[in-house]
Amino acid sequence: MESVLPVWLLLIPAAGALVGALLPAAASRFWALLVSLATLAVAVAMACRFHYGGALMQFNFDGFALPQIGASFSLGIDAIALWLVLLTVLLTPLSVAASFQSIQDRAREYYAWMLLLLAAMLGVFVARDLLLFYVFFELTLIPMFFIIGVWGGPERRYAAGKFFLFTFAGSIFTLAGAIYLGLHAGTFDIRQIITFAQNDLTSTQRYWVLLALLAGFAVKVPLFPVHTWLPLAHTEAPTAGSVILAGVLLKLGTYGLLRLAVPIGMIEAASGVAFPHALRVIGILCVVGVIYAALVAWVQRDIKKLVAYSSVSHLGFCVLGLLALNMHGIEGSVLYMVNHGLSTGAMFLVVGMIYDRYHTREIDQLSGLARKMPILAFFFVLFSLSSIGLPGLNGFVSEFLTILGAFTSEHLGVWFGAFAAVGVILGALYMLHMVACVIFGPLKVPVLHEDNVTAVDESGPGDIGGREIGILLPLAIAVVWLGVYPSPVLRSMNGAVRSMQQPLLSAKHTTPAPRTMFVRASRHVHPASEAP
Amino acid sequence: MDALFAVKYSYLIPLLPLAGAAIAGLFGARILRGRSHWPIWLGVGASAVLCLSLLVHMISLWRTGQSQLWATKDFYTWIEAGQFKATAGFFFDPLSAVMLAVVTGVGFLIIVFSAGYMKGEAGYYRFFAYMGLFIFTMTTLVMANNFLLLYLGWEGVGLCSYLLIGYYYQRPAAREAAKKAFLVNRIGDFGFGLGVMLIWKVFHTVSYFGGDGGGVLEMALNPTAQQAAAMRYIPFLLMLGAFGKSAQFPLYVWLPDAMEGPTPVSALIHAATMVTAGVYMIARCSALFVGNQAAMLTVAAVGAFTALLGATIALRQFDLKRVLAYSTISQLGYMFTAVGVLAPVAGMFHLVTHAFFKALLFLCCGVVMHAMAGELDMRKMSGVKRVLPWTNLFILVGCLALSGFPFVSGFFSKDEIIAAALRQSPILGGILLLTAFLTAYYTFRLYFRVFQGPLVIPQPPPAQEHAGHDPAHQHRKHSHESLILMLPLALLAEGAILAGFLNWPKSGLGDFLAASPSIAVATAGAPAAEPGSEPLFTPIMGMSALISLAGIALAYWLHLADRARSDRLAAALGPLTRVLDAKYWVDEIYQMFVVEPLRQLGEVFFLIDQLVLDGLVALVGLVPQLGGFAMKLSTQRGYLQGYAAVMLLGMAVILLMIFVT
Repeated sequence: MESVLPVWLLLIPAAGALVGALLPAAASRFWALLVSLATLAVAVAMACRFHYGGALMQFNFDGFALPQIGASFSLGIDAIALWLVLLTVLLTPLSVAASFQSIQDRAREYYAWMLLLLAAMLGVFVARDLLLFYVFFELTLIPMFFIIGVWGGPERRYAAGKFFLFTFAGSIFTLAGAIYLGLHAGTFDIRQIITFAQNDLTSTQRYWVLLALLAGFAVKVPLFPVHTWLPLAHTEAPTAGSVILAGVLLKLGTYGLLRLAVPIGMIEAASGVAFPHALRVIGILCVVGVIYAALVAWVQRDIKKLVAYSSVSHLGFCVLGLLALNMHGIEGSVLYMVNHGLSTGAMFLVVGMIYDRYHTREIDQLSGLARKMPILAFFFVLFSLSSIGLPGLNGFVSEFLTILGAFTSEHLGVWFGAFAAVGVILGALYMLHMVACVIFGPLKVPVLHEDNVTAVDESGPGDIGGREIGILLPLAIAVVWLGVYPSPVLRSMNGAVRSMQQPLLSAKHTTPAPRTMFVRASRHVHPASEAP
Repeated sequence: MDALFAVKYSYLIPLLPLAGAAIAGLFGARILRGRSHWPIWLGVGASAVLCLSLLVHMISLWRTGQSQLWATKDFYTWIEAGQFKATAGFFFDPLSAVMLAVVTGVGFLIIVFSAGYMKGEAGYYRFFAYMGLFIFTMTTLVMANNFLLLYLGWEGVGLCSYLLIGYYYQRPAAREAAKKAFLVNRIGDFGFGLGVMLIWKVFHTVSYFGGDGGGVLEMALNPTAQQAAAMRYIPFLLMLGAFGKSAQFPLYVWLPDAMEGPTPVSALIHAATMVTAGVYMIARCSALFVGNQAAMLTVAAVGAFTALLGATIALRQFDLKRVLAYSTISQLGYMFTAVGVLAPVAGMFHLVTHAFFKALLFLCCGVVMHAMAGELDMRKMSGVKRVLPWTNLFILVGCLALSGFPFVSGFFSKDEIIAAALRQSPILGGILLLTAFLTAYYTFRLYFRVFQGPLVIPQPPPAQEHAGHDPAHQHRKHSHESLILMLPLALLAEGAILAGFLNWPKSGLGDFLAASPSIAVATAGAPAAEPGSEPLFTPIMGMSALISLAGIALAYWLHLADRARSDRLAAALGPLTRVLDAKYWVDEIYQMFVVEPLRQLGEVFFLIDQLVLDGLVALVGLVPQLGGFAMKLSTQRGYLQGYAAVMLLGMAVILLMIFVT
């Protein structure tokens, strides 16, 4: 199916950014909202005309090509990308709207960067060409660098620099890997590269390509030992920056793993899984990250840092699910990307609303906000519960499926699932700790003005108003809807996931019986029979 | 079965209370205010009518000798990913019908009571919204036809429990208790969740009964080798969930603290319904449990041990609600012993009778608490029967039922459990008999101290409002025994007396329940016939009647005849008293060996995060560049656009180089 819709998807925000940079500052925020809503409309139009259940890329657009090196400006979308595109176009207008009051300084540039960021993020999801993918992947860095570095908190420059250098250092290797693959395959078309890599790469080549791809994506996700840029960037970024960072930018890493690193580096046409040990090592890193980051989140005194560490913990589940390489694991993982974007994005929005009022994020300085702000408290608790993975809300579905994926995976196994599930207990631990401190308990808010020493009940800022409810409500609806009726979303991905799994399934017929959890029992038999 | 009205429209059973909750939640604060109980009354009331009609129709079908007394009904596919599939669907059989009737029936009475009890509270609408939500999740839990939907209800009731314990969220004690309840339950749910995953791994479905033999509980009767191997572990994992939800050792610690919630909550959630979910679940999954001797023994032993543990701690509690909380833990222990010794009918029977009398006891305590200006310490009150004559009557019924006084409901149900336990093992039976004695003693200790003797009423502390009550609500002229409070109590008291005759040999709750495919599996494997079909007056019954009377007599001797005597006895038993007063230091042990080490670990990890991991990065040499980079930015503020342009230019150059080569 040919279509120019994906071009519109990129062109509207990109052109909008340019136009917005020229508009007067007062108008820029409405312009940004308008442009991001227009982008949303294009994405919704695509979703409406999307053929669900199909495995192939849809809305293909083939622009100019560079036949010398096999690269081309080719766009397209499948069900996996569609949901992430929808997540992106949903979160961006909300972030823009959330910035209306908090961003007063140099607003024009700010909104221009936001729109450019939107274009870049969407580009990653709709690129069918590896080089194009990489260009967009890197392009997201620049707007985010400025959003953190200019409009962030007190340590914004250090945070922005660290963010940039960490992710850039990682993705340099990814670029090298991508070029290597492209030159060897003679094309940068992702689909052809995957086929080439699964069939024609030698084990050594694949190993290095895998490492190169992992370097960029693991930092972006971020996986356990390379996550330290994230808490700082999150804490220092303005609200909208944190929302987009947690909501979408981290998903670029998991998306890259899913679309490139795993199919190219870990799946081999002949034998199925190429490096089972590497798979397990990354799986262990995920599980360690889940537990480690959860415990670190628990002892945080800054709300944003707590949520940031919770992201590290949650994305461990997400990556674990796609490493499981079974359908429910991968589908759960993709759903996890969407769900994490919704609930963590929402969490940052709510925290931002608290910050707008009290100019603090210290847990010790806030307490009992439910009394002053019952509506905000409702949303805060709702999104916390979503993050905890309460059944009936979205987080549960994806968390359960990813753990189940690991638990039943031939390549990971029961223990991966069991240890990851410990993270579910710890998730409730740190989240409820935060809820108990900030929302419940006796009312305590920081003193804002000299003349307002007591800062009790009726004085000071009030509950969230219409604009803020309007920002949170779409997310709340999505959180409930994806918790109650996620099966259409999951089912729509069947075709895309199955096609990704195809080499695994066809390889399996030639390999011996799969490992089961009770392998130890059978092991006891074999050595005995082999003994002389 | 499918043609029954209540089955056809069964989605209304959970959805009506949910709709009520939504209305109360959305419009309660501004519009409904003091009328916020109406949507919940109507929703839960209609739901209770449906449940009772389901029960009545099912009984009449059973009377006519219908062979298949169960139905399963799928509404839509909830989660479907790869081969994993879980539906939103309900399952109906005698077991779920009885549970539903208890949940919505007792629930409705308690909600009616609440409208009187909670009058004038600050978050009136919030309370009723949560209560409606609770009935929604609890009925979902009971009616689910697969493990995953059960899990939804399971965690959902935990959420409602959390919200309601934390109802007075401004009190630090309430908020900590709420958090503790959720977290301890999460530990149990961790096991339960893994159990569900293991079930799916070997059975490839999470449905209980497929109708065509394709359900987990059907396949479990004839397992393959792989399934049989997994079934060595599955019951233990599921059990962990049950221990958390039903407050069994070692996960019982949250329930006493849960008394921070309003009293109707303690009655509904923490006595009558939610905490029995674990018993229900094990009874439901009998097919997975019965083949596993070790698991059954563990359930029975943990149950008996918890029964004794709870009863001993209750001996030295002075807070009315805490006595009842430990008593609930202890009585749940009885139910666990019952399902553990293959007598799920006795367990369910006790569940039903306990729902009536424990809800009654809690609500009576609520009335006392109102009349005593929020005071719950039984040392500070006495002779309350003169102020609260009706309540005195009702609580006496509840106490008699709990202590197993002959011919009141608790007597029958408890004896069936003791008899079944004795058939299995004299040790288990002995523990339960001892516990029965302690139960009778602590129950009447409460009654004699609070309701009998000379009249002592605590003075209300002048400015301090207890439990967030509106102070105006506390004043003396207000009648403490209004009709809206007494009517539900009267009905519950009636139930507490009569429920014991439900399982009278000829009327046959036991035989009816045995028509449930879940229960049938367990009763088929039981060593002897179910007690329901035995002659009523066994020697055990006589013995336990004597034990109950002895406990009551001891309570009379120590706490009514001469109250100083009990203090002297406590002093004489010094160390023992201290151990009981400290509740065996279980909370302290958890704090010291679980919570604190974890927190320390978190701090250490955070330190590692900041020093080691970041330090490594610094060693690699990033930081010098980083410093320079940041410095440039800070000194040349305002030139950021220039940097952006340069960066874009750089990107373009890189790309061009790539394209050209």
